[in-house]
Amino acid sequence: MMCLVAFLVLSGCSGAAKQTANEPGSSSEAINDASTTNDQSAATDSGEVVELTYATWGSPNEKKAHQAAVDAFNAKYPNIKVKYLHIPADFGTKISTMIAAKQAPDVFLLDKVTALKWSEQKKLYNIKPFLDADSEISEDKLIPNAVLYMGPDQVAGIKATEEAFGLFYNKDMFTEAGVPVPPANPNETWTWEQFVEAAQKLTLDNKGRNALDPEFNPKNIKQYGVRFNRWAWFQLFGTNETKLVSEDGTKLQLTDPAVADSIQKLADLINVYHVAPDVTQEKSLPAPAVALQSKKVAMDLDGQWVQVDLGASKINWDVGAMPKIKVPSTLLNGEPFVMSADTKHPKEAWQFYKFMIDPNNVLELYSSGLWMPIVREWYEKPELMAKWAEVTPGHSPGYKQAIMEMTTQYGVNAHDYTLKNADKINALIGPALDAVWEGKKSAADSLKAVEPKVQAEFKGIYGR
Amino acid sequence: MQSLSVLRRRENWFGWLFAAPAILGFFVFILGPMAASLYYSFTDYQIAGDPTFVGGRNYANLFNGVDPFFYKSIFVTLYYVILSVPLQMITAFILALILNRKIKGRAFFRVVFYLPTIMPVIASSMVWIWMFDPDLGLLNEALRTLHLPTSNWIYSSSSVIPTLVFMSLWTVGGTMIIFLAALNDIPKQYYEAIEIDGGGRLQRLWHITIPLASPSIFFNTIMSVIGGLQVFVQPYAMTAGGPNDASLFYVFYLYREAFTFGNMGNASAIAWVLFIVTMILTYVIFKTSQKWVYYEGGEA
Repeated sequence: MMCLVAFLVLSGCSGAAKQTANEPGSSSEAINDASTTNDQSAATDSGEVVELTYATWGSPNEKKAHQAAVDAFNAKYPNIKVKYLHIPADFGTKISTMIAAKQAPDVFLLDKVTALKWSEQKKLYNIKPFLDADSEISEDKLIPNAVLYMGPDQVAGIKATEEAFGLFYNKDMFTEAGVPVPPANPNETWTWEQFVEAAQKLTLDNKGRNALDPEFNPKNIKQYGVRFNRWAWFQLFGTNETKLVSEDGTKLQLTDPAVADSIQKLADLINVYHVAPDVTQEKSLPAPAVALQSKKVAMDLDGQWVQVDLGASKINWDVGAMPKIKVPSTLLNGEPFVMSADTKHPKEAWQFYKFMIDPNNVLELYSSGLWMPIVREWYEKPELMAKWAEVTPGHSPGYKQAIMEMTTQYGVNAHDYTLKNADKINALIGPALDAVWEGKKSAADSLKAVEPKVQAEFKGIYGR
Repeated sequence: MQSLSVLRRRENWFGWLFAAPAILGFFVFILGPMAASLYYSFTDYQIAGDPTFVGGRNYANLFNGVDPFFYKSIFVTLYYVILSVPLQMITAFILALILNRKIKGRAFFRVVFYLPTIMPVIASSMVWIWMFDPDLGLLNEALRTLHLPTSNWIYSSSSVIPTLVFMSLWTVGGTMIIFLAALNDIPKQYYEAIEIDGGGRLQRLWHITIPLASPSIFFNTIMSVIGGLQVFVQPYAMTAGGPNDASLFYVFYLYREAFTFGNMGNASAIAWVLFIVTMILTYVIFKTSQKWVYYEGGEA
């Protein structure tokens, strides 16, 4: 019996050892091949069928779109067979264990923080050489902020989609309140004060009084002017011309007054102006699109992905540009595609990677309003824009200016695209802000209190 | 003689064979992973990387406060244990006392109180989330009807732990059943004797019921302390450790360290600290038990 145990353990080890043998590092060889041979030839070189695995999270509808893209790829490249793995829940945990077991998918969607960390640990394939050598795709053909650099010559991944914040609203509620709708043009967008005033006019208590009325009862609100995502506590940093990490990447600016102010302005929507639901009130609100549909909320400060649900809700909705504090700006939040360093077929994996980035192949994800392309010409050529940005019901009239123009002209990546150890740092700051949302502490005080702990976790930045 | 020894040897062989699944399971699924995690706890092991030996650094980082969540999660967990264990014991014991009497529908109520324990915690957590909803939840609705102050339950950092303790009282059925069995075992003569001596209800409880049930109280206390130290589903499914880390239970913190932050080495160290703390607490309870646990027939 002990022999059996020993056998199991040994065989397990040798399996792992074999796998570690084909670590990265030897990528240059594959790259040379890829640069000389292009398109289909990459796969047809070797007679046998190459098998790849591709993994994403996502809703059942997203799963369908990914599966369709995979099927199209398999049909186009008969010598490559991609198997699609849909992991709807606990994606990070499952991919982690797969990586640890050296059985990671060849190409997969991954959150940026983990992607950078794993790229640093050489668990992700450095796709920079591919990107440099490829004849069809290169960094200057992509929109700004699309490439995720781990280091000067190391790319962790390219955003699978762009995601940008905007001010989504129910038009009818503005008409009823006699309030002008938020401008879509980034250069004419509301100032923060105009935004707050509109939100006040759109917040109604149970007697129909708005939040500007001296009799207004904040304890019994029937309709909120606005809701926002507390997890995106950094969403106003861009417009307030500040950053969590200093420009040179050497320090965290938790005590920067503009950082505190950007968070305080959000908290004040709840506790000072009573135009946004507090933590407990939010619990009893439905999902953002339904909240707009059922007129519980007039404006939703949210990512463009809500468009899928808004489109399905059949209400009269549109989108305005993010209000500005100092300059027009929006928060970008797209997650990257990555390639495993353990892939046995980097050339073919890159072939597939490229295919998935080409909006033509996953058009449904873009035309539904859920995703935004990262290929620049899809923002410039009218015939391409017509394929996605004008498709209803997932897109509204304000989209091109409020979301697309904002993204390419004024988009700012969140701090976790460069910050090292961002998961721990976020896990410290997020909970510390709970007291701010509850109105028990000011943002400045909370940040000051948590600062020593956060500084201890600060380990610099990634990037070129 | 010869044939007997062959038979015995064969029996011996079959014995091992039949025990093999359990023994093998123990080695492969318990001892093996334990040994591995003990080793990993002395390494810097990022889930995606290869472990490198770092000696006691992981442990040192926990205790000297480099890890910002360690003491917080210990505090949260101990707070829960200290609050929940006595309350669970008292509730289960009182239920057992009531259901040990010859009341109407006794069998029915025994089933009713036991029922919640067979429900998966994750399912009951989902239901409780609705009950705890501050605006639409059943509990606050009831309080409002009675014109009593409402609570934010799991959504406020001060009330989240008491709320989870309250919720845990719903599943004391298992403990109650063990108490019931113990109460059933108490010989009737003792009660007759105390009746003759003129003892009242309280004396009966204090001098007979509790001492004679003390082995089961002892057992249940240990189980419930261990259960309290290992709370995971509630923070995982209901609170995500919040608000403001007020429900950052130890095992949830351990899970997050392992699978969100990917620090397997550190997570292994965290797990071993829990193992040792659990052993120490159990040992302490065992030691004190000599003072208050009464075994019929002398030393156990």
